[in-house]
Amino acid sequence: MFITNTTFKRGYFVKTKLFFSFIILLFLFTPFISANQRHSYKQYFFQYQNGEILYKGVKYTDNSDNFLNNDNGKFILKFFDCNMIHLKTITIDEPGVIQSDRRSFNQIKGSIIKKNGYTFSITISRKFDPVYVKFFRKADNCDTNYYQQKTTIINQQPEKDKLLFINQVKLNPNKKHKKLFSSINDAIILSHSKFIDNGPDKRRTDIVFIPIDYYDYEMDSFHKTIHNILYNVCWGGWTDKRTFFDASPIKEFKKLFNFHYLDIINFPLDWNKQINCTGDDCKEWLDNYVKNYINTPPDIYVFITKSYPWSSLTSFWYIILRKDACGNTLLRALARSILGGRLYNEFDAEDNYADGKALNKISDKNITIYTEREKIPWKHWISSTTPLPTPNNVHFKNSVGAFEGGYDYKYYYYRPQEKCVLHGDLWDFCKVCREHFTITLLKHWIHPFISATTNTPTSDTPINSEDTPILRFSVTIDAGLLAMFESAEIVWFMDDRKMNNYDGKSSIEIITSDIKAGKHIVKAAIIGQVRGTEGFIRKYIDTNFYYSFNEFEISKGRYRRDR
Amino acid sequence: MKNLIRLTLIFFFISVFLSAETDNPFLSLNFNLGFSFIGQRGNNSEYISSVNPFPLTPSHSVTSVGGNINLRLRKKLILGLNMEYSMNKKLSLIDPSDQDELVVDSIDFYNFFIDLKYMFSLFNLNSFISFGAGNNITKGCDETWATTKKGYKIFLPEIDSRTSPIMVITAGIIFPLSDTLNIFTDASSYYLINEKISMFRISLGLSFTIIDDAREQK
Repeated sequence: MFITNTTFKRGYFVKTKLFFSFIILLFLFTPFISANQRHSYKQYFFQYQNGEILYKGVKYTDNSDNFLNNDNGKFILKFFDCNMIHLKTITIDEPGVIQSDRRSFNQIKGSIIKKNGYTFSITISRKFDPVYVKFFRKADNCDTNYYQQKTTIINQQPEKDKLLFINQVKLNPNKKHKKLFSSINDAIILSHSKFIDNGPDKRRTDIVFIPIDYYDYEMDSFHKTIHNILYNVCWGGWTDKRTFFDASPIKEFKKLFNFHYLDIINFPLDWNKQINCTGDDCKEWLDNYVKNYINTPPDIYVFITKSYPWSSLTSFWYIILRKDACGNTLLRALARSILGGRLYNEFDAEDNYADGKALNKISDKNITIYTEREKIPWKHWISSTTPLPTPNNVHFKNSVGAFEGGYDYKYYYYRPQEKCVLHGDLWDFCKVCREHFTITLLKHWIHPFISATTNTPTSDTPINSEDTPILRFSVTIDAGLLAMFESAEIVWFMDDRKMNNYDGKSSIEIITSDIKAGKHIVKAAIIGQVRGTEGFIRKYIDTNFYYSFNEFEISKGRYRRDR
Repeated sequence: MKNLIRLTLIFFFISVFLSAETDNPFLSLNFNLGFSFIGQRGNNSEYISSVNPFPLTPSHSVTSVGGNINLRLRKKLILGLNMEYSMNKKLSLIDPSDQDELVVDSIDFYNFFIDLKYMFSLFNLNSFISFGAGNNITKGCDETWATTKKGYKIFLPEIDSRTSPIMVITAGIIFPLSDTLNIFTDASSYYLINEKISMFRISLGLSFTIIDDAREQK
């Protein structure tokens, strides 16, 4: 026992000594390491002369003869990371100095001399590893828009004869860099993943996660955050094991959604301010920005931030979530976005008004200032025996009434039920919010018709009953979405009046002379019950969703002019 | 159309050649302004919903301008070369089913005809009566859409330019103002042979005498 103990002590001493020696050595060598980091510049000379690129004695021949004579024969220098993801483009138009205007690339410097051809001298120092340099001649159809050019180039391999030179430049390997820039111009889309694919984007609701201020080595962390939000239990998870997809009505409509993420490095939080856009213009810009990866404009963007003062922020079509947000924060944000029909917050934490009245006279969806039964928007849910305002006690725990507190205020505003996701509770919406969310999904977000055909003209030309005696309309239904339904039937409407005799038919024929002259709209619709949503809706809705055909017009006939 | 003009001109110049043999050569240029009255077409009983919603085109009048050259062939017989142009007019059509109204332009047309005037004295007035034949030429137009007052669309099909033979009977009176200037008024009845439509026209005009050997002989 004693011997063993002595041996241990000796070994311990030896290991400690070695450890301190290593620390001292590391300390002594640190200046060299950091100096090496600071001066990791490499200089490369490229010479272009008589149709040839020369680099370190290796000759590359340009196949096109008219390179120098072409007015559009500008040079493009492109930088790629180790995954051949495009990082940076410099277009060299005129002889002069190459100077990057991006802070992230301010180590790229060089000069062009036009003397017996072109000579490029380029110095590169960048803390990525490795960096590939490609020499391109600018294609004639290059877009001047930087963003489009950048996104296009990633997906499109350059034509062989345009590619003049490839060289790998290794700079400072295995070192993570610091965040150096915050311009939207420096944001780069690395890759895209449709990680929950329930069908074609066009007919599904597309939710896209985008990282804010993330860098390439942080992408794993970004993916983990998405996983946590969608699949992890939240606080209280030791009693409630449900996750995002277990919450109604997401659970019932799960097949409706496609989820994507885009690995974007350096996407700044204030991107919209930088491009100076507001509202739908910003969405249009963003749709255009991601269109090479997601063809159909996404419906909801979810930005994940590493630091944000609030756990979430919801606008019409975008949501900002903090990295540590839980799935129910996303659920609440979706309910407050256009996806859930823009429900109001039911938090009751604050009381800013001392004058005893509500400033905003709201009585809509899930918030009201009224306690009179007839004025409450969700009166169809309130039992006749429930007192109004409803006391917050155990007797009315599961009742729908008018509970004081909501819209971020403790008093003056009333919410439908004691507990709700929008009130800050875990996974269960109150019945009123669930109804509103469900109706919004049914009415606006399910697109069950794959295609619709008609023989009506697509232009504004009215139909003449002599030339077009019969109008034909037909629709094709998405089988995947139809599977969500317990029962579903196609019905047809003309000018919002149901046409009997056509129920259940996917194609119909209408005799033109039976229709009164003037403008008409034919709609196909589906009446059905989504599985598991029995009792979700008490409000009357005529159909679940429509497919509108183009408006067409029946003319009164023809008149042959004469003297 | 070109053949018609060509034939007319040939006929006219042969007439000029013949008139050279007359004792008293006479040539005058006339200009007139008139109104053409056109009878109704169609009937409300021809109404077919969505096919023929405006079956009745009511009778209407259009403004017309004209001119002719007169050449004496015999003492009381004058050959005339006539041209008239009738300008379009807004026509108001009524749908008999719902009293909806459609306003459309009538179609411009030309009348070209040659007539023989017989001069005589009626109550001491220089009068004439003429018989003529020629062609009515309708201007073509592109197809278009018109909108009724109730907002319904009506298709107006394309119309090709077409020619229809006409017969014309005219009666008129001439008032001499001076040796070379006369004022005249006349009334004409037209019958479009192909289309079986009759028209009526009254006009007032000025006549400029260019050659009158009888006057010189005085």
